[in-house]
Amino acid sequence: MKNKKEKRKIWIICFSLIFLGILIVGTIGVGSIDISVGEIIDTFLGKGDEINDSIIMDMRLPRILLAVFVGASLSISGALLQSVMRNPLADPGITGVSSGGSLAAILMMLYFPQFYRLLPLMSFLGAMLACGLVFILSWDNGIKPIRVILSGVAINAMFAGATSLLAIMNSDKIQGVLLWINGSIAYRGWREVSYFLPYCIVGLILALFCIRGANLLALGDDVATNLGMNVNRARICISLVAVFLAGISTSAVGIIGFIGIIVPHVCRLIVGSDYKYLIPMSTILGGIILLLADTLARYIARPIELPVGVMMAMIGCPFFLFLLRRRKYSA
Amino acid sequence: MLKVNDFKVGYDGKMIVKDFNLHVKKGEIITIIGPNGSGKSTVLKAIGRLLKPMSGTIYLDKQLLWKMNGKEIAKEMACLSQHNIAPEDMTIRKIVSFGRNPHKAWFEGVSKKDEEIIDWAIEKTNLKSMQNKKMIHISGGESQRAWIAMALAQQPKILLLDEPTTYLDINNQIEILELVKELNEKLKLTVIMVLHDLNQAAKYSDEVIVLKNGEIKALGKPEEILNQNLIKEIYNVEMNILKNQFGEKIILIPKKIYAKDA
Ligand SMILES: Nc1ncnc2c1ncn2[C@@H]1O[C@H](COP(=O)(O)OP(=O)(O)O)[C@@H](O)[C@H]1O
Ligand SMILES: [Mg+2]
Repeated sequence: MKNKKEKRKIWIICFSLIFLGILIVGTIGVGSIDISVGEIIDTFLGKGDEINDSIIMDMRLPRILLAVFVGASLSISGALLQSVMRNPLADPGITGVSSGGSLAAILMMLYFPQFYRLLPLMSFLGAMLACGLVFILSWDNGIKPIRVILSGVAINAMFAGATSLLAIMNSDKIQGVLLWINGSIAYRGWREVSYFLPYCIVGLILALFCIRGANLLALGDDVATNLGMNVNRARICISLVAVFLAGISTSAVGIIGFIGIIVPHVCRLIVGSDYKYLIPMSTILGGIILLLADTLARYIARPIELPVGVMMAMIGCPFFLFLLRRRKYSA
Repeated sequence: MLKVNDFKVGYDGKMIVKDFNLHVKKGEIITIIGPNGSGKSTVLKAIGRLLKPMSGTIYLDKQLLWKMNGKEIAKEMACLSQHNIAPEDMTIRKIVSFGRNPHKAWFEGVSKKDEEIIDWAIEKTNLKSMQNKKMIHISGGESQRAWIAMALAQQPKILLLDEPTTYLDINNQIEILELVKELNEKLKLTVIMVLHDLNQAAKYSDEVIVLKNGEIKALGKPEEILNQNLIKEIYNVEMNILKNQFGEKIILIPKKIYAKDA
């Protein structure tokens, strides 16, 4: 028995998915060299010229895939963290989860490059450490929203410090590290896609299992417990999924902030706060936003490419400040 | 059906309620009264397993409460705290439907039978005409009824309510209490609640528990235990007490506060 409003939400989600599809095709042509739609079709039919083939298949396509799936992962991660921490401003960037993941990844790249394949798992461990620290620091008879933000700032500063230290100690390889800190999808190819995508799909499926739990947590601990939920266990499980998604994303592209706040927030305005709709919507819109941001990043100052993390910060920071002042929802 | 033995409850190692013993029989309405900060909510939360007691035991139908699975408890007992917050855009019906959670495995959706029970809970609480309204657009009384409807959808045998009438106007207060009474009579629902109004406590309960500084000062039928000395000890208020008038067993009329040194 679905009422009209629920049907409308499902339609909105379907249309966004179609829009994402169109966007993917549309952005293949955009970059330091423009490629026309006809030439794109030629490439896919196997009769394009060699340069276009290599630009599309080796550079743009993996990059677009990464943008879409990283955007989706970070957005879901944000949506889940917001439910666990009962705080609409929580996201992997603010809470330090991303910087934990990135520090672990940088350590791995600098000192154990032979294990490059394990990068996503290593990032996950680093992200878990950061998340655990934030939980411990913000715990005072339950998690206090404002303390989450404050501990996040502290953890972020700590990990950023450690990252700088690593950068100074390895000044010969600093270029790669810098790219990490800013978050960039440029120069990533099928190798990164193949390391990242399997984990990402697992993470996205796990996120679907968090829907009911996230909805119950939104009612507050007392009501959730009353309804038979083991609140602490649910918190830990949902956090793990969120941290996993953020960790593997960081391993693929470095730190990209704000998307985990912006996307779930906009989705709440569109489909409401029921995670049954919020998770699918955030997945799709997350893909859309990061893909747009990355396309903009490689277009706006071309032929120079901006890191997409910088792009997101430029859009996201004002939005975050706006939310911080407003802190009121009406969906 | 519910037995509490030698309860000690507190927060962070600080004891708030001690030596709490209580036997509740099926179909009773029991009301906890006492001054602010006397530990009423604390006790109620501990009985409703929202707060782990420091020591002591609770038996629910002869089973040790803390050994029971969360969902099993939730089918037997519903516990509403004083303040509940819902996401603002959630509809009343959605809130009520959460009450079915204990009856569902994690992969199960809402079945036809669930819908019927949700309908019934909404009907009982008089929310039918506004069931699709969002929580942000309804009044305090309606929101209180929505939460009670959620608890009803759990189909519990015991209902725990913390100050269900506070902040409501007198019409809404009576409506909630009459609803509790009706559920108690028709469904043999056992109720333990916290109230502030002594007359309402006396009128609607089989037994009252008088709590002060975390200790039970009196326990029994309201008309038998509520007297001037007790009220003075608990609230430091002088009461006129009428018995068997206007169809009530006992009526309490506050007169004045005793002087501080009295
Ligand atoms: N979460 C808490 N942490 C620490 N102390 C608390 C907490 N909740 C209540 N208390 C303390 O426990 C005592 C009893 O509170 P409570 O049970 O809420 O009283 P009542 O409901 O009778 O007004 C008060 O002194 C209060 O300060
Ligand atoms: Mg209280």
